[in-house]
Amino acid sequence: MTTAESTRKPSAILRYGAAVASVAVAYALAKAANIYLHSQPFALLFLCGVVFSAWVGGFGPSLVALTLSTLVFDYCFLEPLHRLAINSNELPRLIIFAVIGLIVGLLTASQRNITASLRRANGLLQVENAERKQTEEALRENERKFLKLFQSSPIAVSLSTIDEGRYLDVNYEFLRMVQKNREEVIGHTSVEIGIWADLDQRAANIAKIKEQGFLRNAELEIRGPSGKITHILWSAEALAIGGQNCLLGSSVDITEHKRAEAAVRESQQLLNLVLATLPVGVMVTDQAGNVVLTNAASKRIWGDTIVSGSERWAQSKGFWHDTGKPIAPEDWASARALSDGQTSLNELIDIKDYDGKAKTIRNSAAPIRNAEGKIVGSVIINEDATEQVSAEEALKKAESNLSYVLDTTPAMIHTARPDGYLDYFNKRWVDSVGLPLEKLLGWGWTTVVHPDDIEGEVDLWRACVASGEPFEYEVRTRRPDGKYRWVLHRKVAMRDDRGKIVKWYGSAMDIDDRKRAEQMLRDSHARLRALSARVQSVREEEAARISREIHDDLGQKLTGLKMDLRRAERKVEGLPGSPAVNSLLDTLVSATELVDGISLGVQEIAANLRPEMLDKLGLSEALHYESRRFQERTGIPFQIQLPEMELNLSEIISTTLFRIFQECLTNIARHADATKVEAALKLEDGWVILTVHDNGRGITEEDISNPGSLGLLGMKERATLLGGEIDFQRHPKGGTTVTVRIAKSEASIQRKEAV
Amino acid sequence: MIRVLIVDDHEIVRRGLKEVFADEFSELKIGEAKNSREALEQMAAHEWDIILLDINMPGRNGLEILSEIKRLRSHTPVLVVSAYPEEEFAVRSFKLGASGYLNKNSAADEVVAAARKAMAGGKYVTAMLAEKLAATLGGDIQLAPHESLSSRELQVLQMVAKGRTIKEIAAELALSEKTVGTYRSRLSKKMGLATNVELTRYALQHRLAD
Repeated sequence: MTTAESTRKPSAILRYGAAVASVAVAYALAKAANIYLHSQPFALLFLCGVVFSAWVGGFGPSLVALTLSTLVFDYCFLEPLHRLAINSNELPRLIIFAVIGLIVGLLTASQRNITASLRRANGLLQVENAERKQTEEALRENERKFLKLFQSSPIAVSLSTIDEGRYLDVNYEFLRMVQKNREEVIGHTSVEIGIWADLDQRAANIAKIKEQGFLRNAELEIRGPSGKITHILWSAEALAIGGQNCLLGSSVDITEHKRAEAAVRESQQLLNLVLATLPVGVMVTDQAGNVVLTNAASKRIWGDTIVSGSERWAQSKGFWHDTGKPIAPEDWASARALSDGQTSLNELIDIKDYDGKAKTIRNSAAPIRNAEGKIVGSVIINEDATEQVSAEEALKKAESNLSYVLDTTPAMIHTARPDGYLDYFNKRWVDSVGLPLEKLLGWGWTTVVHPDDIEGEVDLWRACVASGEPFEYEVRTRRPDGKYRWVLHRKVAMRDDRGKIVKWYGSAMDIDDRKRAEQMLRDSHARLRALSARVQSVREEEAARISREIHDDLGQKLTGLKMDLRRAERKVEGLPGSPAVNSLLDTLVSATELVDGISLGVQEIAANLRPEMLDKLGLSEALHYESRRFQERTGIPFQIQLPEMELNLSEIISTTLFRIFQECLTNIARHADATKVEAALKLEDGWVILTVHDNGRGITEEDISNPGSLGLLGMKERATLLGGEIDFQRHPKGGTTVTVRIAKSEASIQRKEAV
Repeated sequence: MIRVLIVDDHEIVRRGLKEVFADEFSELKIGEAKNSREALEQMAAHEWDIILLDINMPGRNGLEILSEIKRLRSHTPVLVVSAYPEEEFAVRSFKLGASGYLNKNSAADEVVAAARKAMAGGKYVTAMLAEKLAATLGGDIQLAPHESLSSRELQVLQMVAKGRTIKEIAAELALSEKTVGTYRSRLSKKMGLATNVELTRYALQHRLAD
């Protein structure tokens, strides 16, 4: 116990602390319960505290704790002694409790200590055991090491009886190789297990071992459980173990190695096959220029005869294709590859092969270097280009012929690549702008296009290149003299069999004269129209003036005359009847009738010239008046729909619509053979719309398009002058509808005119 | 004494109208105006029993003056006397407050009857317009077209109503057939009655036939 204490110093402090603390707390609680609750259980609490203290602290500490707590609490802090005296009858019991507590606590503590000593003794025994075990372990470790070495060896090792081939021991690699577990192998013979693929081979090997005592690196095949053949390299040693003739065999799995060898062979075969089928000739030479490898194509090009070494260059007949000069022996591509390490690509040469046939080939050669970079040979690639070159040359010749034709044609011709790059302009094209060809190629041609036209043409060209649509655009291009002329640029895509664009063919056509003529025609049209408008307005004014004069002067005078006549008539009526009076009356009545007739005629003439109503009351009333006159004159029923409100149209619109209306009525009366006429005037979305419909025979297309239809022309002109539209429509069942639309506001008229 | 203001820019028309009125009325005061300004001056200076107004005049047209007159003197009746056809202008004139619309061609015959009617507070409507006006203005239109007939025309109406032919009438009145034919067509026109049957019925209804 002392040793334990001395060896556990920090624990002693803890024990004292715990003992004091537990007694102090128990005592304090007991006192508190006694004082404040006047309760008896304090003694029990105290007892518990002392037991705990003794248990944890042992005798010494708990006694110290008991004494300290009693003295300190009672005397110094909690209360004076006399308060204790009140409960002095408790004291003996307290002491008894303390003593019991101490005994119980100490008994439990000593019990604990005895258990601890037993444990320690036990521990010593275990140490001794462990030491012995360590020695054994070391032995075993050694054993294991060897075993491990045996087991983990990458070489399959087996120990077996030499005669039977019964396995005494095998390692892991062996088991892996034969794909069996230990139990299946140990104690069984190799024949039982069925390892050997060829038993005769085994027998021969065993015989050899028996004879010479060993066997080295025999290549054998063994069979796995699934029948899979594994190739092994087998070595064996005969040795006697315990008087028994045994065989220590070791084998290495060489299946992978075998497979790699096969793969190399295959790739070699593949290479040969590729070489044989390659359309280009391939030749490999060593450093001296001896041909070490050649393929069928190479033989086709050069002939079967192969000349070896440097002789080959001297004997090969070759000429540079572009110059026709013979190729010197040292100038051959392969010679240069071997001597200087040059790589040459596609040198076009004419050759005479060893059979004397002339050919054109593309010749390439490159040096072969070993790992140190030293040139050890060369590889030569030959491509028979005889046909291709001759075709190209023929094409070139044809192109040059075509180019000659194109350059002499009076048309301006160009071509472009599928990406929109212009790659050819004929002479005429180039001459027309006076710039060198190089400045036109690609997108250079845009420099001769008028600045105002460039953007439009380039945009359209790009769009056509993207879509493949034919290109057509009118632009001004600059001539050598700096003047611009109108040309029409056209391009059409040429496509291959699969529809892919391979080329654009284009032309340029000078359309300046046509453009000028068009412009002149337009100007002339505009002038004519203006003239016509002027003529019409003058005519209108004149008609209005004459109409007014007739109406005001002649008409009013006739009215006065008629009044006079009627007065005279009435006065004569009032006279007594006599033949002379009656005769006078007859004359007067006749004269009045005559004046009435003249008066009507004058009004008719004035209205035909220009109805005053148009000026005085507006279009609606004038149309109404006109339709009534039409009905009276022709007897054809006429219905007209007029707007409720006055439209307040400008004089020119009113006049125009009125005159068109008059023309319609004239046409109906003359040609239509109608039995009913309907007309309507309305305002819709700022447009004044006049429609006149009849149920007659219907207008024909020829009538509409006939330039001799001056009436229709006049109507169109009148409508056009105001930026309006006129439409003649024939109905399937017969009848014609004329629709005129004119913008009501002046602003829209002016806009239209500006256009 | 009646006071008539004639507004017309043609002297010859004014003179004709003046004389027609002078034939009918012994006590007569005639005022004349040849444009809107003079008309309004006359309006301001004197009271008038009736105003004869032309539509077509230089400057402001008659319809505008009509509105102004009716605004100034709403009780003074106005007869529009115009060279324009009544189909287009009559309705408009009535809407603006006119009491009658006469074509200058028939003015000599009808203006006095129309003036009498207008001064009596009525509206003078020719037979031709009656139907149209009935539809447009509605209601109270009294027609007495024979009031504008001359004595000879009335005589011819009565004889037609008795079933006489034109030849018989001409013989009886010692006039040429042509003159009687003219009378006959004037009748039809003034009264809006085309056939003899219609004329006879009208004469019986208005007790003109005896």
